[in-house]
Order: sequence, then structure tokens, then C-alpha cells
Amino acid sequence: MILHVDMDAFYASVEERENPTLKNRPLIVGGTRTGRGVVAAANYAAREFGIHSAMPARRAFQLCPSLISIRPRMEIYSSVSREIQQIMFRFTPEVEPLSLDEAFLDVRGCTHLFGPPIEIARKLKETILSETELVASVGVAPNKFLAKIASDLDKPDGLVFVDSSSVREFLDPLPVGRIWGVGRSTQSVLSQHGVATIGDLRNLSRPALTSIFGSYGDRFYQLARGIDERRVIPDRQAQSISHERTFVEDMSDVELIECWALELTDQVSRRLRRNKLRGKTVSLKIRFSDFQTLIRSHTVDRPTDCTQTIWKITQDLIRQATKGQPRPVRLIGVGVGHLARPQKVQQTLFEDEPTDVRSEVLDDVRDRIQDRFGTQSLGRASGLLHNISDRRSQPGGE
Amino acid sequence: MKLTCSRSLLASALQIVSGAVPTRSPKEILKNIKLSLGDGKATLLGTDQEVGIRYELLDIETDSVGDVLLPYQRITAILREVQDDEVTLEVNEQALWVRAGQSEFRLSVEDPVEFPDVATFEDESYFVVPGRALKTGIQRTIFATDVESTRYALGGVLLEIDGDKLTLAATDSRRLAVYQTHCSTQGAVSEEVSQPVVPAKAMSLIDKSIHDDEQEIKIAIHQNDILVQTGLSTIYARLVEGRFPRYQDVIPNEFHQKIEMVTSPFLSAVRQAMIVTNDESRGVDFNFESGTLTLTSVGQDVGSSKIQLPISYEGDQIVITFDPRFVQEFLRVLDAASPLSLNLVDGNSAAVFKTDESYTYVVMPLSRDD
Repeated sequence: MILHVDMDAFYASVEERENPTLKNRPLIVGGTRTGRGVVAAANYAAREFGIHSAMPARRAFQLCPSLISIRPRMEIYSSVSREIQQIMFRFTPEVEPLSLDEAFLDVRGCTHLFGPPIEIARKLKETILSETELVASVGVAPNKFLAKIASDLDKPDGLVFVDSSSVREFLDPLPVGRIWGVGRSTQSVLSQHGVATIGDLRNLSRPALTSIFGSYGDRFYQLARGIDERRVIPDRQAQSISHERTFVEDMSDVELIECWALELTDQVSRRLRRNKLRGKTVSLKIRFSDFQTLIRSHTVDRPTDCTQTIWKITQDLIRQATKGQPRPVRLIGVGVGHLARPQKVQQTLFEDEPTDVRSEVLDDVRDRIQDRFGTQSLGRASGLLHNISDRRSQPGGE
Repeated sequence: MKLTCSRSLLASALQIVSGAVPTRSPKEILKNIKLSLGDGKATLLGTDQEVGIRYELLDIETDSVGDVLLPYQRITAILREVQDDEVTLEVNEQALWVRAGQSEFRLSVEDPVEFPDVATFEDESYFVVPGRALKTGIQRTIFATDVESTRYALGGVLLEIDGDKLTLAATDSRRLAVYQTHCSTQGAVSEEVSQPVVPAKAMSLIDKSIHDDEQEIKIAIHQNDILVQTGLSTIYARLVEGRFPRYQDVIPNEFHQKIEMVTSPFLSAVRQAMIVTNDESRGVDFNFESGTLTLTSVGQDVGSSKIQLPISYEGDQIVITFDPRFVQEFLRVLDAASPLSLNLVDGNSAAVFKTDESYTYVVMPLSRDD
């Protein structure tokens, strides 16, 4: 069984814990009344006003004039996140963190130690609450796909268990929007075929799905039946690290696509460095509006964790993949594979190539600034120009 | 034109000249070796236009005159497969006929006029190096070159001439091989210290074309190229462009430990240690203790190994991690019985191997976390 643990209003809850006078008052993290920023997180009091993350801050203040706004303090959030991960590791080493406030746990191997999965989920929630004063919602299910849906169903303080014998009853009534990667545009395509719920989706035949979505139709066919074979992969043994992003609206502007890919490259390379990993293969995933998906990759001789090096390759791959391509792009993903943890590094006789050293120093400084002040604290001009925020990409790790 | 000669003589000459023939080239014509007959002599020419060789065949009797382009791949295949001692090459009807015993081949040939020339050695001022010294120097440095380097001119061997001192140096920035010998001068060579970097390909050609240890090798250095005459051959090479790093600066002078060893048993131990390594975990720990050297390696998903070797060392324990390929490549060019010393500062600094005053090999270790 898989657990999906999702901390409730994580950043905001940490702020409430640090300053109890904020409790039960509408609160957002990130964004100011006058500024152009977006809401990074909102507590439940703020959510009652219809405020949600990724909303422009100005709009949030229109909805709730008495709103309190706090600058994100990523250093605290990531240290709390590490505490929570340590708690998870007490139950199992099979922990796959997705972000600061989300993780998958594979508990199949530890039931004889801690009892049935539902019991483990309950204990985990209790321990997190008693040690960090923070509330987690947990989904317990036979696979990642179901666990992720389950953790979100009864938020806050949710604990939802999906038994393998009741997958169909669980999924059928849910709206298709609950499926990962099904956004507004996919929903509208589906509704043209009379599909509103996952049950409706399950009633479409496999050929019908492939005729609409190409090879991705197979994926929908399986998800509608609650089938998801992806394993839980702890970062330390991941074969690749990747992030991807499905756009709200399909994109044709190559410059904009590149901006997003650069943001994803930043995230992937940062995650490599945080885990002290280097990779040799850079891969690019592009899904076009008709759901045809291309994966292109390029392998270099020396494993790298350098943003600039990975970006150069990614950019080449994008240009090759989109050259003369009339179809707009719906999803883009950047990954680095063939990972190795360099325990010992060959030293050199002469000073390193100056450009390498410069990019390494740059990576290091950026990591330190972002660790301390948050990922929003330092951005690329290209990202600011196109209002690109990193909060909405999906990490992966197959 | 017509030439009859010994099959083995022609085969070995072509083998040497083929060192200049490019395997891939946009110019198809360069995949040939040019044979020129004239004045009772036969000369073979091969070039990729960066490096070229002119090789004179010995013991040839011919009164023919003319040029022909030998398609290198096919000619060598023929010389390898036919069994007879003598072969005859003849050009007529716009084709090359190769005959040996009962076999006859007719090969289409390209126009020899199109083939680029290789310079002859006409210089009157040059350096002179004994064949044996140059050959040894090339073999002890060439393996450390790095043709991929873009920052420095590492794709060749540095020939540094200072007075009567000739130093050969090569590095790929992880290890450095330096060999010193003497040279003399002929004519009015410049007094300035010259530092040409000669492409590895040309150095290999020079090495192969030195047959006689006692032979005097003539080296003429020009602004952008170099000509080397080794008796039968003249080798031309355009110099590697760019700067060779200040290699003297990275050779440590003071050491904490000196370990004396003999090549053959050390090489055997290193080769054993290399078996259980892979691309991800290439390092081998060299653990020197009183009386014993222990090599340990762990290859991710492969296994591990531990090899011990008695050594005459009585100092403190010291552990250093090397890429064993770098150590092996050095030991391989030494005589099996020759002694060597390994001079260490600590486990994270450049290590210096010495055989005698003339040969120094510096290897950077893999960094150690502890």
C-alpha cells in the first residue's frame, strides 16, 4: 500500500505556528496588497474567502481586505519539511518527496512492524502533529495515483483509505479533473464526449480514447480503472530526476516554452545538487495539443549538476523538437538521468575551465539565496517577464 | 610504370605510412597512399593535410618513373591475404594491377596529380636527437595527451628545447608525463627557447618510423609546423595551436613519503585492482603501510576487490585514491624490472612517480572526503 502525505496549507500553517496571534485570521504567504506577486499559500481562514494559491495577490486582497500577508521564509519551511521527512523515515526508508509539503511512502515492507497501512497513516499523522504542531492529510491506497487523490478528498486533516476491492466505487463518482494532468482544456475535450466523471471516462473504449488522445489515451484508460504501476522511488536511488508542467492553455510561442523549460531545468538541477547527484543524460518531454508525446534525450560524457550545462542541452533539444512544428505544446518536461553520486572526484592539475567555475559558483550562490529566502526570492528575468512561477510543476522520478 | 618488390617490405612500409591516412575525411583522395617512382627510388606519401609522412622504400630496383595512388584499404587487404614473397604493381590502362603468384587484381585509381604533397627535409639548421632517446621519450609521454581539450593545447606532446636540453611533456590535466633528454644542434638554430606542441598523431608516426636506436633524428622547427627526419621517413606536422600550460608549476618538490617499488609486481597488482571498477566508481584506494601496499576497489553493482603487495616501506600509513588507468598507463611503458619511486605529499595532493632523473609522472588523485 502507498501513502500520500500532503501537509495542510503548509507555509501558512508554519507561520501560524510561529506566531499564534495569526491563528484563525485570513493569511497568505507571498504577494502584497499593491505588488504584482502571487499567493504562494493561503490558510483555511483565507480560503473561505475564495483565496487559493497561485492567485494574483491583488485579487486576494480584493476578496478579503483584512487579509494578512507574510513574506515567504523558505529557510524555515524547508527545515520543518526535513523534520517531517525524518518522521516518515522512522516508518520506512521508502519515502519519495515530491516537494516541501508532499511525499509518497511505500509501507508494504513495514506492516509487520507498525501494523496495517491505515494504522501507519494514523500514527504518522499523530506523530507529525505532536512533534511539529502541523496537520497532514493522508491518502492510503494500492498505488500512487489513488493515494494522491485520496489525500486531497477530505482536506484538511483528512485520512482516506481506498481498499483494492473498492477502487471502482471510489473513482467512478469523482470528476475527471481529479486526474493528474487533466486541466481545463482536457476537461472540455472530454465533456464534448459526454465525460464528466471518472466513471464516464471508464465507459469509453480503449480505441475511442486513443483516437482522441493518441498514445496518452492508454494512460487514461488505465487511470480510469485505478491502474498505476509507478513505484515509490526515494531520491537517493532515483534513476532520473525530472519535472514537468502542463500548461493551462496550449502554447505555440517557442520563447515562452523555453522560459518554462528553463524554470524546470532550474528546479531539476537544484534538486540534483541538493541530493548530491550528477547525471549524464538530459531528456526533454514534449506533449503536443493532440497528445502526441515526444521524448528526446542527449547523453554527455561527464555527469553534471550544472544548470547552465543542462540548459544548453535542453535548449538544443527543444529547438530540434519544435522546429517546423505547427502543433501547440500542451506539456513540457525536463529530466536528468543516468544518475550517480560522485563519492570521489578526479582532481585536476590546472585550474578548471573558467566558464565551468563561473557557472558552479553561480549555482552555489543561487542555491544559497533560494534556500534562505525562498525559490521566489531570486528569479530569471525571462521568468519574471512571462510571469512564470515554479509552484505548479509536477516532480517525477521514474 | 612497374614495381616489383618484397611483399613484407611493402606491407610494413604501408603500415607505417597508414598512420597519417585519415579514417574519416571529406576528401576521399586522402584515403590513398601515393607511390612515386623516379631516380631508381620508390617513395610512399600519406597525409591528412595536418600531418604527413614521406617514406622511402629500401632495396628497390626500378627504372620506372611515375606516380600512382594506392587505395590503402584494398592494397593492405591484398598484401595480407596473398601468400607469395613478391608482389608486382603495374599501372596501365588507367588502372592499377597487383599481381602475386597466381593472383591478379585490377583496381581503379584516382588521379595522383590531385594528391597533396608532403614537404621534403631541406633545412640546414636543425636539432639532432638520438633515435633511442626520442623513441623512449615519445612512448613515455604520448599516452597522456588529450586531443579533446579546448582550453589548452594538450592534443600533442610539447617539445621544449632549451640549449642542449630537450624536454617532452604531455598532459590531459589530470596527469602529466615529463621526459628529459639531450639534443645537439646543426647550423644556426635560434637561441630562443622554443615550445612547439606536436600533434599526438605525428609523434606516433615518428615513434613508428624510428627503426634504429643509433639513428640520429633531425628536427627542424618552424613558426607553424615541424619537419622530422628519421632516416627513411620525413614527417611533417602542423603544430597544435594554443598554449601549453605551465607544467613545471604543478610538479611538487617536497614530499612526506617516498615509496620504492618495482614495476612488474606493481603493474600486476594495479591491473588486478582495475577488474572490479566501473565508470561510476573508478577510484582504487592505494593504502601504503609498513611492509604492505593494499589496493581496494568497490565497483557499484559489480563487486569489490582487495589486492596486497609486499613493499619495502616503513613510514606512516598513507591512503590515496587514483584512477588506476592513469597508474597502469605509466607502468606499462616501463621495463618490467625497472625500479621506481612514488613520492607523496598527502592523500589529496599531486603524486609524483619517478623512474630516474629523466622521467617524471604526476597524477592527481581522486578527492578524499575523510
